Amino acid sequence: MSSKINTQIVPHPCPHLAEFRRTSSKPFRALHACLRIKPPGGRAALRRDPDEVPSCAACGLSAPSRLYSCMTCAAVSCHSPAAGSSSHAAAHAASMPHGHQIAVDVDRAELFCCACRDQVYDRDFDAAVVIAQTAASTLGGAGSPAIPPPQPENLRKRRRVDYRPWAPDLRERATIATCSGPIAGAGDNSSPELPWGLRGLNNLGNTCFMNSVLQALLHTPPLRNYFLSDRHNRYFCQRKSNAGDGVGSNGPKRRGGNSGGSNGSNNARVCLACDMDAMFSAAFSGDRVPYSPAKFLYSWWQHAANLASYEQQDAHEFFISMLDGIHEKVEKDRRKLDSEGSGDCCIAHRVFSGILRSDVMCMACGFTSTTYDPCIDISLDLEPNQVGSTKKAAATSNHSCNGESDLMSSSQNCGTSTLVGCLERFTRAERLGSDQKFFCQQCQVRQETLKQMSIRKLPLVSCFHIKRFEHSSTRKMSRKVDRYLQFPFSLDMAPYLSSSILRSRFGNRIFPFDGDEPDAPNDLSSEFELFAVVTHSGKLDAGHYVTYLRLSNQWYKCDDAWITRVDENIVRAAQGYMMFYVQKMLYYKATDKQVAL
Amino acid sequence: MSAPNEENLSSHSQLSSHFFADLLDSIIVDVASECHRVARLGLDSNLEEEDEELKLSAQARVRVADPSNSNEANGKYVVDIFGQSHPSVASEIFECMNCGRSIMAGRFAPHLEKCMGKGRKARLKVTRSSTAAAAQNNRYSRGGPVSTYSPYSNHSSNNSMNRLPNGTSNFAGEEHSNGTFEP
Repeated sequence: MSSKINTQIVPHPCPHLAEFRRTSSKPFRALHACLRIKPPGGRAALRRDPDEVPSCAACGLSAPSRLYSCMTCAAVSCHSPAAGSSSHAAAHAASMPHGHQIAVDVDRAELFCCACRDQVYDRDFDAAVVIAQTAASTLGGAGSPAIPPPQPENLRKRRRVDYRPWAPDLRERATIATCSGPIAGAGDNSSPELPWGLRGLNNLGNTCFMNSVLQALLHTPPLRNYFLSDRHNRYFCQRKSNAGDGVGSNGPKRRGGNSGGSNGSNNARVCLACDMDAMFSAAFSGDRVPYSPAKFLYSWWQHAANLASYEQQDAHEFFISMLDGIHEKVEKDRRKLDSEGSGDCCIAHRVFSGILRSDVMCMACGFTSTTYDPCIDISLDLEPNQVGSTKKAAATSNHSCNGESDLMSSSQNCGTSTLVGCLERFTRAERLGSDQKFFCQQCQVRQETLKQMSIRKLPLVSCFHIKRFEHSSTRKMSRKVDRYLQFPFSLDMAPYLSSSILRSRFGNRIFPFDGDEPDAPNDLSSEFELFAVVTHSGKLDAGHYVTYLRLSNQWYKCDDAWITRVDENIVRAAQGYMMFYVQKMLYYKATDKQVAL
Repeated sequence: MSAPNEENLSSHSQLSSHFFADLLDSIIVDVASECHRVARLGLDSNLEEEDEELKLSAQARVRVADPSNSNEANGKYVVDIFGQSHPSVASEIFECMNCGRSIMAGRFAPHLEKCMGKGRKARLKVTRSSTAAAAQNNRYSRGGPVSTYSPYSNHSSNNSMNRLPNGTSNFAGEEHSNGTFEP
């Protein structure tokens, strides 16, 4: 029925449109001169002169809501869908010889087939409109359509490679036989249904904030695979750093001079990745007695001196800090600050780092400036206190209020905060206040602007952090927001990608926008599955973190040393603080290196 | 619009009604045209899945809130899925990697804090002149020697809020100075 390009359906043309395209040499050539773009936002309209007020040739009215200009002879007619009243546009198509069926809505720049009496779509027409809109919003009017010049260098396209399952060759088989042994307890006493890697973590004294994040990381598929594949061998790493020790390790500036007591020389040997490696080995060893991440705590405190204290801390802050610790150790050797977005620097960024795009558009002239920034997670605001989130929630509430027999659900559905709603708000175009005027390069003066965020590149694992801790500097107080947030088990991130956001900004035209991958065979790359939820209960200063893990579609509750199985309803109803989603489909990219990282 | 007599009034209001109707029509067609495009180009394909998830979450909340359902008793575990039971304070004993002493797991963090010379309580111990200076700086940024944990779980750079000239309490009365706070 229609072809799919770049996750977008291109509908097949109706016979009249098809014939129009066949018979006209350059069907939309005359358009360029007539397309008028109204800044900001770039609404496209068609006018022969800038001041033209189009009116229907048949009835002379210019007020009707739909005026169509025939693509062949440019005659303007009005159209009314009601059966009783006349449609001059349809009359025009019928009265003229063949080839006058296709018209264009002069106020909306949409194609219309007068014979089918329906709006129709064409790729070349849309391209012409987008080109005109882009010209209006870039400096000097030139610029390639919707592909901004400052393309981040770490996004150079790499060929996708088909997955080929690996099997050991003869030499590898021999190595496996001689140098490895089966994991203790495999299959005998431990019941087969209990998944590998499930193991409690002892609370070392207010360390549930650390345990909760570590549990999520232990079961983050790409991270787990990395460490279990021995990609960071702690013995090898320690031996390497011992060899380079004593050369005067100048610790990075952030350490702030705290040399950690008597073991100052240990700074060079602090490697959070090694401690993670040890933890993975322990978790997947088959031993089910709770593990004490003491060495990890010790190493992390040496890295994050300002956070090192026996007190309750923020799990999200710990998460950022320890990923930074893994990165820093690697980064000390070579300068790889720019490649954070592509994840070439370390496993932490390879797994969690995405790229955010920020567009700032001048409200006066429409000129848009774009910047790209890497991000390791996305922090989302809960919506402000008034009820009424997205229109979808309201629609659903209507649906379930009428359809469901469960009376209690109606009151809970109306106005529920949702993760999808937070993401929509995150990517919404926001008008910056008049006190935050930006300097517009085209106007050469400070103007009010519209800012919009979008995701240029999705990470392998998306971590969403909900800002539940409010700090008000005016009232000099902090509080925790306990409001429930609905989060889905499956999440499609496509609507928040830069390509989608840009597309909707340009009126959802059929056009490849920034980020559209031409070699994407399907759109599974934006589909994510939830695998871990870190929840917080209690008050801001006296609370408890618990992690729910999803293994083989079964949910487990990890409460420090206690691992229990829970029903998925418990998880759905829990108060999410950090949610971890992993890409459903992982692609392999071709690499130039001999041994891929 | 003020008008002296009724006829003018009705024709004026008719005219403004007419304008309003035209504007409204135009806006309606705007929305219809956009929705038509979104639907035809398949850009709204996720609505059903999202509705399904919302429904499942609503049902889950109802079931969990229902006291008759046997929900897991939060915090009161008997055995975990491996059949094990654990004390409230972790009892595993291991060696501290900083000083070598044998420490119980559940008390490791407070021990390590003192052992490494970090944390508030450790910093208050003035042993050497260098650590004394560091301790003084830290004391100011933490805003008072009294409470054992910061009111918000955020890193100390935010604690500049605590720095009040007369050391008055600012967070739910938890942290109060007894007059020994020096700005």
